[in-house]
Amino acid sequence: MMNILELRNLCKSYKNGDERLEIIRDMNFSLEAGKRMCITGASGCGKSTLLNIIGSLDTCDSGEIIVDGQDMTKFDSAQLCSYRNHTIGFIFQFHYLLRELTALENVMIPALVAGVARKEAQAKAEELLNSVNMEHRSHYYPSKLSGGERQRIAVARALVNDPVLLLADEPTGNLDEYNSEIVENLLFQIAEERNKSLILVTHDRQIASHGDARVKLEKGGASFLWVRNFLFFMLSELSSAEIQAGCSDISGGLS
Amino acid sequence: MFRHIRGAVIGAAISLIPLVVVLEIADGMIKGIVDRYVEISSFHLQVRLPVLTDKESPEEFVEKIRSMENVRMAFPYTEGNGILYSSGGRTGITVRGIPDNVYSQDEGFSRYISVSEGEFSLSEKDSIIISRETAALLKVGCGDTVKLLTAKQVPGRQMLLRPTKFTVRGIYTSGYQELDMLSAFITSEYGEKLFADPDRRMIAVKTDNAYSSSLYTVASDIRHLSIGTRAYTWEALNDTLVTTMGTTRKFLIFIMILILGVASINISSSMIMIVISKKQDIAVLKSMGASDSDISAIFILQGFFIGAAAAFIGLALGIFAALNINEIIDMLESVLNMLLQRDFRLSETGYYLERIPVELSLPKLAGCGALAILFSVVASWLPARHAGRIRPVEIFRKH
Repeated sequence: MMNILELRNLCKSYKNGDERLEIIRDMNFSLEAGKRMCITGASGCGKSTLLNIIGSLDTCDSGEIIVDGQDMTKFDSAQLCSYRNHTIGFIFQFHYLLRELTALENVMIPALVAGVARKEAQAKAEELLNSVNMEHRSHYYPSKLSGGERQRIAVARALVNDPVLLLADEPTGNLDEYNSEIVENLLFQIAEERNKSLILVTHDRQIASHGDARVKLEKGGASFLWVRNFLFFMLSELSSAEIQAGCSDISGGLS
Repeated sequence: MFRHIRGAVIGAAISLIPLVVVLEIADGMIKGIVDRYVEISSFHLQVRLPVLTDKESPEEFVEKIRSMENVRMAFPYTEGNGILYSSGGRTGITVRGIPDNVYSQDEGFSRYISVSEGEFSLSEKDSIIISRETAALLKVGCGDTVKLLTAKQVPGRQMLLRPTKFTVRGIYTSGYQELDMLSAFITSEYGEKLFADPDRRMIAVKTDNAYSSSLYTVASDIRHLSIGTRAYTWEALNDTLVTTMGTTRKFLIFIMILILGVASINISSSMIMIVISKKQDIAVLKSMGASDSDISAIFILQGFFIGAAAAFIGLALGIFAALNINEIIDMLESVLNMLLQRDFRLSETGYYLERIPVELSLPKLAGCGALAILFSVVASWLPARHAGRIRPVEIFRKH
């Protein structure tokens, strides 16, 4: 099966005073189209940073990110905008719905940014609201919705431009157990139904167990830098998700 | 956010009011004053004839000018200075000798001459029409006698001072006291006698429109009547007045535009506050594919709408204030007089028109509105650029 995402020797560090803090070092992995990968790890280990880099919200120091056959790190700003608009669907821990807009209008935004006609964007948004069981709340403002409902709207918004890759950064992190389950089920269900690749960052091991592949990021070490960047788990022998991870701190890396 | 927008709109709208009022009133006042000079003082054109031969006469020239296209009226004209005095007082004055029919036949002349006592009649040889201010200064009324002291250079002799007795037949006001205080009208016959230089006869000309290019065509045609004939337009005759008023108007408008500029700084700071409060939304939009220029365009557009709203409100209030400026001044004077317990005048009518005329001009109002919008858009440019440069990852990281 074709890889939708491939990371090659990805490195990312931040400057912290005179010191350089390495967050990701020589990371390699790939994800096949239509597969769901869950990334777990302690707070501050770089899960969100990895997602932001894949989503082009942040830049890497070196390495390649091949998405749908193209190296995203070589994109100019216009291509990056198009990439964020068409290829990626972002779901954040916090819903980040625009409070001045209704649920329907929030879902329409990415389509309108893409230049889709308002009528067409509205039809798409209504269809998606229906699929997340939020059609009855389409004209509600975010302030009138519950946390779970807002996050379902955010899921619909991420799907409106029919992206090939969904990036979910702890989407249930702010929800209670009941709503977490609803959103989590919805996310996996929609990804499967619509054949979307999904990378889900979560703290919840139970949620992570539902993915086709699970990756655990860890940090630590005497220098407080990364000792190990990456661990991976193949959840099932039948899993078609191919994961390769490497970390130069660990001799020869892992694979 | 709406608080910031409201503040920016109100600030810009209020700053637009003085610009609209000044523009409309300044133009109205300048036109009102210039109109009065053009219609009752300098006339549209003044023709100075060359030394005439025995076969030529001023009347012949008058007839030729009258027959020209776009000429409404032409008549022999004399003008001179003297001291007008009575038992009650005296004043320096410019006296104009005009035919009796000018008041009845020239609509432009009669429009600005309002007779408050007696009548504008120069049928009697010794008639003089003086202004209300002159009458008050000399303490005379209709039927009273005044004397005009004029000086005339007699060839081979010294300057000859000559008092001439006149009877006041009418008292007028043009609404512009500075002009009125210096002007009186006498018969052509006396004008000839007192001021006419036989070598330099003058003709006053009224055209169909003193402000159109046809004025220059008429002036050119008159100059071609004979060698040495000179035709001076009202602009040339009132050059200092027109220049002074034009310069004053420009300075006033410049100051008002500066006020508008200061208000646009307020728009800029409000927009910065809006950008700060909307950082998260900007980051979300960018994460969905909105480009830097898309984000900047949103705030530029917002600046445009703030400017448009300010223009709408500012123009409406400005027009209202301009149209009611006389009432507003009267009201302010009444309030000030009541509070200060004294006779306080906001405008010295001796130097201005008694009632401020307002000249509403659609293109100028549109220009004011466009300027407000332009200033607002320019003011929003910097915050818009800042908004476009926001990096979503930094915002999400802070959240």
